[in-house]
Amino acid sequence: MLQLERSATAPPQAQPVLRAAGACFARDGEVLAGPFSATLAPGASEVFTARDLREARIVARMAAGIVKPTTGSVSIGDYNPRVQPVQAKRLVAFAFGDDTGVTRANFDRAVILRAALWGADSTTARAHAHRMRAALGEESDALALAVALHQALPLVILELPRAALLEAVRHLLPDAAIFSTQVVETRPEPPA
Amino acid sequence: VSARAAIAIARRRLSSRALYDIARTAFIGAALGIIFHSTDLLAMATLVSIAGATASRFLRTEFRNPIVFAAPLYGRELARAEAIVPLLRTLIFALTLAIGSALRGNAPPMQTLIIVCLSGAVAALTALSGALRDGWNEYLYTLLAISTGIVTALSSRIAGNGTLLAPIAIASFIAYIALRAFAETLARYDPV
Repeated sequence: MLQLERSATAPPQAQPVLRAAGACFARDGEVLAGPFSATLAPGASEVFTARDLREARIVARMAAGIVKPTTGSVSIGDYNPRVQPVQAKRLVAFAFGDDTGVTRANFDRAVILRAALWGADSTTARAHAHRMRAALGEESDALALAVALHQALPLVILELPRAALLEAVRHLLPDAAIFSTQVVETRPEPPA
Repeated sequence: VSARAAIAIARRRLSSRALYDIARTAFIGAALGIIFHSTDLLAMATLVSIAGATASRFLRTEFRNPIVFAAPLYGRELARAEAIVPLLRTLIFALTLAIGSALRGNAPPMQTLIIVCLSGAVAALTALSGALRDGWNEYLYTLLAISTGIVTALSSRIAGNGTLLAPIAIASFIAYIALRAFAETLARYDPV
């Protein structure tokens, strides 16, 4: 049921940016996500197909070092997010799938907040984010993604992106490793 | 980077809803001051400790947007940043309580006001960890926060009236432990 699709192959000499081996997340003894395994080099892209929305969110967040796996391991660059979370998160541009509240009106404020949290220069971050916005579009999720891409980072993680948005990011950032999650499509039962 | 990130997080937390909440807190503080116009240290410290223990409740809804958990910040940096608004709210309550009393011609002495502010600050910092807990644990943190505030005020009575040394020492110790505990809670938290 769970599968990883590799849509691009990275040069064999490239050092993987994301490595996950049997990473699972459990709470109160119930496995909520995983196991997922992935090895992602710069320029490569992978899509994890999850059973449900919750698993898709948790797997994306585990890959970004935000959620710590209960079993298995995840490493970002040379860092283990459990031990070196700050160093690991510095390499990740993460776009949340749920409503992040980014609109045309508060776009600049959202970029300035991101730049402050990631320690990036505000002016450069705004210019970069506006370039991304021009390329990605004006929809709410595209704006949130443009904010996340306020600086060039080696690993881009997209939580439940639209197919068109994912494709746009692949074209826009050919050198970045892109990991995204989606939910397996369930077809409606045919009428009896 | 840390100070800039802390200011950015505090500004984000000072939304229009939070400002309305602070204004309401100030109004309640002034009203209670006018009604009770008491300068009794323990009575004032208890009221301010209750205000401090509930000052971080808004964080429960703020943490639904997990952007701060994706940021490359250490738990201690995040803890300091998230403590700013609850502390501000508590100190505003303490000051308006004193102003309310003063309006009825019963202004508390400066020493009492300082100890009351210390009690409120200690309660606010202790309650922070409860913002990420549910059910009984949350209530226990609220009770613990009120108790620590009252203990801070009591230390002045025990050490003898006229001394600020004991409450400052107790408040510093409890505040340090409370912030460390909150930092640890944030570092271990999995936003799923």
